[in-house]
Amino acid sequence: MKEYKDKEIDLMLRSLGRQGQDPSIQEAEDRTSHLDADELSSYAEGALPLATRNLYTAHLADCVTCRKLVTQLSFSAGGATTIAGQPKVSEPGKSFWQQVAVLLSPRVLRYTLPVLALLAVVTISFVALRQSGDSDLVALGPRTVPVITNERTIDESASEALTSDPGTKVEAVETPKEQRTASPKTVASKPVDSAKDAQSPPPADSQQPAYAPEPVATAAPTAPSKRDERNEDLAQKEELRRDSVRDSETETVRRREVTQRRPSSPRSPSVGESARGGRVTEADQSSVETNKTQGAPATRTVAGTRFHRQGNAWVDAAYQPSMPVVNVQRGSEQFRALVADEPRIRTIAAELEGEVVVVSQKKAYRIR
Amino acid sequence: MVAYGFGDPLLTSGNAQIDRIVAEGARRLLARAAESYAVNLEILLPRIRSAVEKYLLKANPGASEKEVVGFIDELQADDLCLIVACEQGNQNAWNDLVARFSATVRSAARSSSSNEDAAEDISQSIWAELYGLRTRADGKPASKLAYYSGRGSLAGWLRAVVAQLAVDQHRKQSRMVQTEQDEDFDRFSTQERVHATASVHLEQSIANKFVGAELQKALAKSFEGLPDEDRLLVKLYYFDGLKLREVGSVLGVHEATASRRLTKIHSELRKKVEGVLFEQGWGRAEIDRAFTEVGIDLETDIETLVTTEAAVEDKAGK
Repeated sequence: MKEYKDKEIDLMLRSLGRQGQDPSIQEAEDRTSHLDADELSSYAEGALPLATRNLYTAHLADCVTCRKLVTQLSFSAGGATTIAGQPKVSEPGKSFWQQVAVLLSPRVLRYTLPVLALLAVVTISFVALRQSGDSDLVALGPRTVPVITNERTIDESASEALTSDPGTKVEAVETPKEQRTASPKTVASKPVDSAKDAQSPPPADSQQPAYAPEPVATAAPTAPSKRDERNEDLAQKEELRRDSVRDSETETVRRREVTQRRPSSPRSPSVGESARGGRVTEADQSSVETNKTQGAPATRTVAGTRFHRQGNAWVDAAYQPSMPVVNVQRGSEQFRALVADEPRIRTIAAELEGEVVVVSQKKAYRIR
Repeated sequence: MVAYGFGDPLLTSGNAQIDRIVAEGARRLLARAAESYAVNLEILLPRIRSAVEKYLLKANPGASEKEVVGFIDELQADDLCLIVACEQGNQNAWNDLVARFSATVRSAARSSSSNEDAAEDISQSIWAELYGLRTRADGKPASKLAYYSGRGSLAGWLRAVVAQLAVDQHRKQSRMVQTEQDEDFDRFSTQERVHATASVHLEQSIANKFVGAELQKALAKSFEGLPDEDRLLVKLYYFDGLKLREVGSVLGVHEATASRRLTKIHSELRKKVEGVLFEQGWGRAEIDRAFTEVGIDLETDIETLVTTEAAVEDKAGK
């Protein structure tokens, strides 16, 4: 309502302005007293004391000639002597610092600051996107140029390290390999050298990468065990994949050495195998061999539960991919409630650092 | 004569106190000047005293010593010394003045003229005016330089002198040739006269037609009662056709401030107009109806007005 009223006043003022144009000019022509040049320029430059300025304002409101001159001079002063259609005239006596002060004046900054802020945001976004793109390229690097070692590639090794679900490992990662080779079982047994061929194939649930890296001391979160959860934390996967690729290179070298030694020396039980009373699978054997290189156990038994290391996580041997998984943070209220019900899990969480997947009452808990 | 700051203990002693403050200020001004052109205190004192009286004490007789000191310390020391030296006939000062400001004078002359010849004429006239063609009673040339106070910049003052000279020349030519349209001064005449001629006839018919003619009168009356700054803003915006940004530039405020002030003026005018109409015996319902009708009619007719103006301007252009 108020705006509508203002609009009416606005229209009437416009009308009044048009009607009053000629009388104003006539009034100015007849006027004998005008502001002098010094007063006009001082007013236009805002160099007058307030009281004096108010006096001249009253005159300007009624004198169209002086008003037009002041307007013209104000534009000249504000426009830094640039007259329309004319070359720019240099203003004498302006030092470098005065020019800098003009550039930093609020009048200029009110336009430049938002532009600079926008540029900064765009630049930061661009850099962030570039870094994200770079990490993608790094992760895909080994995939595009795979290093073939004993019919396995670094890419495949890395993928296995990521795939904490043994059941889905072959299906998810080895699919391209399947197209080239006979069967998943063949692929699973490929890493094992000729001496291992005599051994019976390990059970499917015990298949795991033989090059699980040392868990991070700070208990950093690792890749999840289920394939559908791998998309939850891409950055974490990328990091893990890089580690796996690095480790796989070490593994490849080690395998070459083992392959060269095996024909002449029969397989001897490893430390890990003897510790478990000879109940080692082929996958465990690989883990034990990894232990020789890395000095860290790949399988541990805590509170009567056996855990395999997969990536940076300890996974309960009883874990099945079909089980529902509940994420629990150490120290959280949920964790305290869980260990109150299952004191065994408290011991497990205390013994095993990093991420632990433990099965309790047909339910899996991922403890971080 | 100006009455000095009675009521302020620092200025109650009258001229002697002012003289002391001005003398101290003049010494500081000379010390500030990078090139004093041998201008001495004796020559400078009357100039500064005159500026203080004109710009400070005339409007604010109760100014304190601090205000007077601040005023003097804000004077353009270099420019003032240069002008005073020129007035005293210092040839070096004249050379410097011409060298430093001839470009400023030329550009100001061009902005007031449409062709190079007229601009050159004005430029030459300015230097003659500055030098002083007539002689004063004391035998010295009556120069315009005597009017520069040092309050604003010398470049700004020169531009103002050029603009005023252009107006004077235009008036003289208008009287001689008896023409309303002078291509040397189209900034102040051509477009506005065409615009005004077209507008006045149509506005007259609108005013006659409107039931709210009384409303327009009440508005005109209310407008005269506005504060000076507000009247100037309205004149600049509605009468001179400036944009809000330009209005802000003239008033020394931001465009947004000018816009807010204009909105406030609208609302004040509305109240004043209603008050005038109430005094004339109008009722609330009548006032509201009148505003509504005027608003609708003006909005409709302004579209016609714009169309007519465009046609008139096209005709004038041909």
